[in-house]
Amino acid sequence: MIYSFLLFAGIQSVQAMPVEFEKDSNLPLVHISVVLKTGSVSDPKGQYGITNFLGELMARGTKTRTKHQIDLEMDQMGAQFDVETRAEMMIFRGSVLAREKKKFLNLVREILTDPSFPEAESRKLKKEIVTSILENLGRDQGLANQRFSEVLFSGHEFSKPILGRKKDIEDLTQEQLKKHYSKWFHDQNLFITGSGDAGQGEIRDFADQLTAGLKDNIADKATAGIPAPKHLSKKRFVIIDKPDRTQVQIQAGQVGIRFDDPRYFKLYLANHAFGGGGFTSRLMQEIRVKRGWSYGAASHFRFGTQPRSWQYGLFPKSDYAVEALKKTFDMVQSLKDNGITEAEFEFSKSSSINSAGFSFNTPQKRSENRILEIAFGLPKGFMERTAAELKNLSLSEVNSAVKDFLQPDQMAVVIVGTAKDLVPAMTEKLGISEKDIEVFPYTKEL
Amino acid sequence: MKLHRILLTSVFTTAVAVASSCATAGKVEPLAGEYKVHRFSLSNGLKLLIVKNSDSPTFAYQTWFNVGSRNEVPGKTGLAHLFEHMMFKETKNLKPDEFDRTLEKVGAEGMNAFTSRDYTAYVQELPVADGKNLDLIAKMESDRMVNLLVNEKALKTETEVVQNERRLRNENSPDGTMYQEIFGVAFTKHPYRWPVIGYEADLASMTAKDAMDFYKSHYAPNRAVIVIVGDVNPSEAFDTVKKYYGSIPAQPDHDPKIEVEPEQKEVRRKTLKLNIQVEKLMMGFHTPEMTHADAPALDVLRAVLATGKSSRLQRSLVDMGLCGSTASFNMNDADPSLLMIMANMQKGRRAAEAEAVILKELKKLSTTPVGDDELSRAKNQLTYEFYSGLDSASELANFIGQSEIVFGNFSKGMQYYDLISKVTADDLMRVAKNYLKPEGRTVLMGVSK
Repeated sequence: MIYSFLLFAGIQSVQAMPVEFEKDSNLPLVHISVVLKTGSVSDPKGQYGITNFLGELMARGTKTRTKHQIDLEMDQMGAQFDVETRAEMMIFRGSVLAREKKKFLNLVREILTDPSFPEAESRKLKKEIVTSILENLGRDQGLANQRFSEVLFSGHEFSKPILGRKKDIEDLTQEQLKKHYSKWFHDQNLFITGSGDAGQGEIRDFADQLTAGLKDNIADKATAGIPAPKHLSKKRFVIIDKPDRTQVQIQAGQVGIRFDDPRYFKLYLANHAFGGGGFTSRLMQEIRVKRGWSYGAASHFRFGTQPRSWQYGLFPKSDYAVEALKKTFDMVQSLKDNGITEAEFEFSKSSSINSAGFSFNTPQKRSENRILEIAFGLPKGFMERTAAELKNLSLSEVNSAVKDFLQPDQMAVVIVGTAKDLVPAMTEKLGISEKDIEVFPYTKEL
Repeated sequence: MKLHRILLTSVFTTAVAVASSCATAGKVEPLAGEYKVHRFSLSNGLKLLIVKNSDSPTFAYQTWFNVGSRNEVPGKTGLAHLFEHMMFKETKNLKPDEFDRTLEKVGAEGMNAFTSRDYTAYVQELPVADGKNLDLIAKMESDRMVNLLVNEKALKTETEVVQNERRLRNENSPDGTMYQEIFGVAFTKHPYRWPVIGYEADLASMTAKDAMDFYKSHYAPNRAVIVIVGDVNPSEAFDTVKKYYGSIPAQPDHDPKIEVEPEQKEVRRKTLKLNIQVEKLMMGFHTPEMTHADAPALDVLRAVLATGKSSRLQRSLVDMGLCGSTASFNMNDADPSLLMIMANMQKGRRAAEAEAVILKELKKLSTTPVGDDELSRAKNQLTYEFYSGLDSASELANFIGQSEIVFGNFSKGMQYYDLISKVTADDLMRVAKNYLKPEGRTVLMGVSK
């Protein structure tokens, strides 16, 4: 089923910065996202984490306000303001009670156009971020995901850790931060999306003032561009060794595709049947429903301006982790060799078409979709085309795309668990040699 | 495909047969912003609350049961949550997995369930599909309210799934381990002392009979609230719900007696050795139930302490370089529970340092009135929290369902936010003094192995 909704009131500010805001007066709230079209991929070597650090520091002091003043004003307004850094974008995301929107937008504009990079705050932030890096080592699921990217994209921009590396963070200088700011923060590298109880004029004023405030950042003006990552030359097994684990975290997968890859919608359906479609997917059925091996088992694509990853994850008990891993390898190979069945195809098609509207049924979801469309250079409305595109697909097209896409011998397999238990089981049950299993202490930065 | 359709139309006769002749319809109550709630009830005690919102041709359908881990008994901990998993298995009318399969096929989104200390909820969103899906979900939810089957084999497999969930959320998570432990230390009598997910040994010994006994005792229309938010016509939705649930009989309550937790008169401590690189602190203070008159003031106090970057603990712990992050939560439970304060230390700093700072801040709050600006900041943040918690159909349904269970009526959930706006600086001092007593605290410290 295809849903129709009110169209976005697309606003083009006087400069070239795209602005998309959808008015929604159901609740007295305003949500705004100012998006920088680059993220951790633009961190220079030796400065890993600088983009995220810069975004955090910008909210800690402007030419007229200290961090404390900013914090007090934000809290007084009942506002939330956070910086979210991803591989290829940084989102300054704010929400506020509608009655305070004018003050709020003015403060957000000031944070973006007039940061003061206070030295004392920079010192404090370094300690906080190093603490976050250390704290994340205690979270196995996040650690497995991070290490998976580092292993699959080793040497490529996508492998850069968003928070950075401890030493790089500690060594960042004010000059490096100022240079990074003037290089990336300019009108052609930013856009705005949002929704809520605000008028077109208010958002236009905000956009105009933002672009006017960034007009000096033109000397080093840069836009991001990265090469496509290459497939691994062979399957890579990495254990992130952590003592006393009763459960392991597994992430496995390969280099993926872009949204505009001609195989995208075909693989969307195949992934739905394999592990993206909830309880009826093959992974959930085989791993959780039939065997109780893991609370969850799912697969998904990650996207970017270049192909990122197709990956799946599960978290079985240590005792049967290798058995579960082997089962997933067999399932991936079978998917490549035999594709999905007609029944799976019909089911996934019906389910995906019927549920497609849920990806754009609220103003906030439509706003998030526009972020992806603009950042990845997709046509407006791309994210809403899913149902229409899936309708015309045939089973043979889907299975041909799967056969072409899947590369089981070029996957990265990352396991957070206890190596002394896992290595013998892997050599015995998977038939791989011990020298082909890389083991790193969980505290080591890759 | 055809077979499924035949099954679905022929097997629901038990639930469909007799619509209740006695039902209460159509009271309209304000919610927030543009939203209004249509309240209905059936003679078997089932409550139905509907918010019409036609912005999208979809609707959220949630079923809330007034049962959680507080209704369990020692030796059977985790049964409420394990049973929640079993609700997705088979019924007299649906084969194993047919519930999921049927809903996924019509495009259901966010199919899930969750169990807390006080309630269990089953949630999903569906496309309207010309009203067909409301009929479908009412038919299927009413079926599993009364016709569930539990066999030993399915229970054993699902118990292993839950053991894996427990390993994920508790055993292999430093924060989860500490969260489980703090309730185990702070409570000695009340069922809040055991984790919602249950203890490993209790789960291992659970049988199909335990599950069916639990079902018969706790799953009945008089313990349920249905919330529908979305593009539905309230009176038509009421007719649909009445058609499918009207003949399900109410059941007498079989709740075990819940012991009252005695006052904690001395500090309780526990240190856990964990796979962590920075120390962690978790403190708990006993607070009254959410319906208590002091609950709104305790929420404002929590906001003054740790909500927002200008909050007291953010400044004294994070900005001063002692911690990487800090947070505070009220558990918002139906019975007296805990106000929690958490801190993740910076590298090289000790959890005991944060504890000392927190105690100092609490002392200040109990002796010196909070200024007007600070008080209004805290209230504004709670107002924002309230509205942002209503920003989608499923969140609206969540608020209504939870408020109906915990407060007995969602409008009292709304009044709670009115009461927050009336909290004074003196109220804050009083509740800080009464509830955040240093001698009544429970302290968990996580240190590196």
